Amino acid sequence: MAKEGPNWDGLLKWSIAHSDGTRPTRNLSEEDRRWFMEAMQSQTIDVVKRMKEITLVMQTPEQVLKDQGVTPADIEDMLDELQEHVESIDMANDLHSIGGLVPLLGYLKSSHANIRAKAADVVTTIVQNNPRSQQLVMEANGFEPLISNFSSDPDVTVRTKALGAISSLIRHNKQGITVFRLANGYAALKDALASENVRFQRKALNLTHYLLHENNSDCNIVNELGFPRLLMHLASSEDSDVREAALRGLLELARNTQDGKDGNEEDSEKMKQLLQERINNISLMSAEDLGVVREERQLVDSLWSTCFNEPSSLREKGLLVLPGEDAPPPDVASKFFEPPLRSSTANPSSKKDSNNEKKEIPLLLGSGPSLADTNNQGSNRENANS
Amino acid sequence: MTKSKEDHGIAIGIDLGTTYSCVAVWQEHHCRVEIIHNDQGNNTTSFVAFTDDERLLKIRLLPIQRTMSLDKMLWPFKVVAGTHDKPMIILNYKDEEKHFCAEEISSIVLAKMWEIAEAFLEKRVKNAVIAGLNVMRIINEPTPAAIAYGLNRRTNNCVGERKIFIFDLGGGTFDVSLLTHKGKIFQVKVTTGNGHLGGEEIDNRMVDYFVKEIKRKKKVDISGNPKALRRLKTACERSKRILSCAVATHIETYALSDGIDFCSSTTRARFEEINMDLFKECMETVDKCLTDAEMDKSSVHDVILVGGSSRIPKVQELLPGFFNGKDLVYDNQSSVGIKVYEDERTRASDNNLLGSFSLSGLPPAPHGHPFDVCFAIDENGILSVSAKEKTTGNSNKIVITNERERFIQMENALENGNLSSKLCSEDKEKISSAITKATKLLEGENQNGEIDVFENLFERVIGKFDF
Repeated sequence: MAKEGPNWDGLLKWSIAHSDGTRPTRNLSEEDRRWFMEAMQSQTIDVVKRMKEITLVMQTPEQVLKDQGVTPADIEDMLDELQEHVESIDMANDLHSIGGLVPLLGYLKSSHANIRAKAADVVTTIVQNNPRSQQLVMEANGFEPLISNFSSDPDVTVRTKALGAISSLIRHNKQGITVFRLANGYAALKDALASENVRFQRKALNLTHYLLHENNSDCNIVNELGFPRLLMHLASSEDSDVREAALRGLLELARNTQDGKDGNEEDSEKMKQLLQERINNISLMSAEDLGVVREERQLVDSLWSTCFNEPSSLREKGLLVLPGEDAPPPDVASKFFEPPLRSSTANPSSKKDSNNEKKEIPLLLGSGPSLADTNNQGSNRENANS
Repeated sequence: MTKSKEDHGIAIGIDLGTTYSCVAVWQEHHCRVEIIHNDQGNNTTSFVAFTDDERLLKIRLLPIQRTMSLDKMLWPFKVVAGTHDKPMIILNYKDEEKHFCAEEISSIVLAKMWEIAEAFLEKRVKNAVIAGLNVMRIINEPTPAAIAYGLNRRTNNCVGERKIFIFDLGGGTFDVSLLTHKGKIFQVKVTTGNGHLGGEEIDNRMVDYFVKEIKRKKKVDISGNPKALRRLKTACERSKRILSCAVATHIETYALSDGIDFCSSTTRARFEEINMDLFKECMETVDKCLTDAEMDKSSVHDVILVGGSSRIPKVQELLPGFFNGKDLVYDNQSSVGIKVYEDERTRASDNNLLGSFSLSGLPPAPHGHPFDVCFAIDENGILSVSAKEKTTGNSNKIVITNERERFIQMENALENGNLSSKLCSEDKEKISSAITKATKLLEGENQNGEIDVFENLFERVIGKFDF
C-alpha cells in the first residue's frame, strides 16, 4: 500500500513494538473500533478519495459545471490541489488508474487560458522523472495538445507551461524525443528563444541543451536553424539563469561543431568578445553575486578553453574556484521529515542531533521510559523458525 | 506476519514497511502469490458514480476550495504514558476522548489491512469474524526474505549448514541479519541495523544539497518553509529513482517560494558523493554483524538484497566488493541493464563505459535468466550492441559511434568532479586540454596524417587516469 490516508503502517509498527505480550487486553468493542477508524479518517486527508472527487468534476461537461455555479477560478483551484496530490509519484501514477488522466489532458484544450496553463503545470508534475506516467501520457496522445499549445497558443504563459510539460515528458523518453523532432519541435524552441519572456527562454534553453547533449548530431540541425546567434544574444541576458543556460548550450555546440566547417573568423571574434565581456562583468561582482553565478563562471572558462585552446583569465584572477565552495550543505531536511512514531522505536542513531530531535517532538509525551526499554534490547537474538 | 480466516482456510501475508506495505494472498487457480500493492491498481472501475442530486454535487464541490492544506497533516492523536508507563494513544473526536493501548491499535490496523485483501478477493466476511482474526505466526523479517528466494528448497550439497546474509535497506530502516539454514530450520544468528537509515535519509541529503543551492542562486532560504521542502523532497525522490538507470537527471519545481521557480540537474556521481557516508555506514554495519556472529565473510554462502534502496547502484557495487565479489541474489526483476565497456580490466567498472541501455517490460525472472547480447561492427568501425529477451521478444540496442564519445565522456567525468579529489588543478587542466586537442584531432580532416600525434596524445590522457 502506498501512503494514503492515515499512516497505518507506522501505527501498526509502533503498536507492535509496544505490545506487552504478558498481559491480556480488554475486548475492544465494535463501537470503539468504528469510533477509532472514524476519528483517524476524519483528521487525515484521503488523497485517493480526493483525487476521485476531482476526477468526477473533470469528467463533468463544462456547461453542467457552469450551471452549478462553478467558475474557471474554481477549476483552477481544483487543479492546484490535484497538483499537490500528484507530487507523490504513486499518486501521479494512480491518477490514470482512477480515470483522471484523460480528462486532465482534455483541459489542455480548455477555452480558458488559465486552465490550459494550470493543466500543463499539473502534467509537468505528473511526468517529471516518472517513466510510467510518461508512457501513459504518450499513449493518451497527450503530446499533441502540448506541442500545439507550445507552438501556437496566443497566451505566452500557456506556451511556457506547455513547454515545461513537454520538457518533463520527453526527458529520458526516446519515443518522446523522436515525436518532438518529428513535430518540428526545434522550430518552436527557436521561437521561444526569440521571445521576450525570461521564463519561456530559460525552459527552452534547458531543453535545447538536453537534446543536444543526448544526440550530438542535432547540433547540425540547430546550427542551420540559426540557434548560435540567438544563444550568443541570450548569453548577455540580464537574467543569470538565462545566461547560464545559454552558455551551456553554446558549450555543447562548441564541443560538437566541426572546425572550419560552420565556424568562421567573425564568429570566433564575437565569441571572444562575448566571453571577455562576461569575464569583465564577473570581475566586478560581490562575493555574494559570485556565488549566484558559480555555474556561469565555470561555463565561461570551459567555453574559452574549448574555443581557444587556453585557460581563461578567470583562473589567474582567482575567480574560477572560490575558497569554501565545496563545504557540505547543512542538515535541514531531517528536522522536517522525521515521523514522530519512528523516534520512539528507533535504535540510538549515530547522528548527534538525534537527541535534540526527540526532545523537540512534543506529541510523544510518554515515549521516554519506553525508549529506555528499547535501548536495552540486545542486538543478538537466536530464534528458531521453520 | 500471517493471518488466517479459519472458516475458509485463506491465509494472507502482511509485510510492514516504513514506506510501503504489502498484503499478499495465495491464488490457488493461478498457482502463485498475488500481491495487492494498492487498491487503486486493482479497482480501476470502483469509484463513485455520478449523482444527479444538485445539492449533493454542490456540497461535494465545496471541499475543493482551499479549506484544507496538506501541510496540516499532523498526527491527530497524542501519545502518553498510561498505567505502568505503557504508551497509550489519546484521540479526540466528536467531543469524546478515548484511550487505546498498543495491542488494540494492532488489532484495528490489522483488521483494516484484512479488509483490503478481502476487497481484492471479492469475498465478504461478517464483522464478528473480522474482529476475531487469528494470527497464525509472526515471522522475523529476515526469514521471509530467505524463503522468498527459495533457499529453503535448495538442495544442500554440503553436509553442514548454509549461511545466508540478508541486507535489507528500505525506505526508513536498515537491517542486516545472518541466518543459518540446515534441513528445514532457519535460525537467525545475529541481526543489527539502524532505524534511521534508508531511502528517506538519502532523499534528505539531496534536499539539503538543493536547499543550499537555492540559497546560493536565488538568495532565498527555504529551510523554514515546510511546503517548499516537501515539494523539493518529492522531486528529489523521483530523480533518485531515475539515477538508478541514468547518469544525470533534471529537477524543476514550480512556485517553490514566493513564485520562484527552481531548476537544476544532478548526476549519479554527485548523488553518490552526497550519500557516500551513508553507504559506508551500511558497510560498517554489515561488518559489525559478521563480527558479532564471530564469522568470517568468506564463509557466507548467499547474500540477499531486500528493500527498495538496495537497488541503488552504489550499494550494489559496494556489497559485492565487501564480500569479495560474491554474487547477489535479487530475483523477480522485470528489467535488465546492459552496459558496454571498453578495455580489458577484470573489474568492469575499471574500464571505460561507452554507453548503456536497459531492456524493460520483461516478466519477473530469477537471476541467471538468459539474454542474447550481440556485438556487431560495420566497415566504418561503428559498434552496435543489442540485447534481446526470447520469451517476450523485447529488444533494445545502442550504437557506439566513434572515439569522440569516449573523450566527451572523460571530459564530462572531469567536470562532474569524479576525480577532483584525486587531481590537483594543474593536472586537471592538462587532462582537459589534452582531451580537447584529441577531440579536435579526431574531428579534423587530417586525422590519418597525424595518427602518431593522436596516439601520443591518447597515451598521455590514459597515463593521467592510470596514476
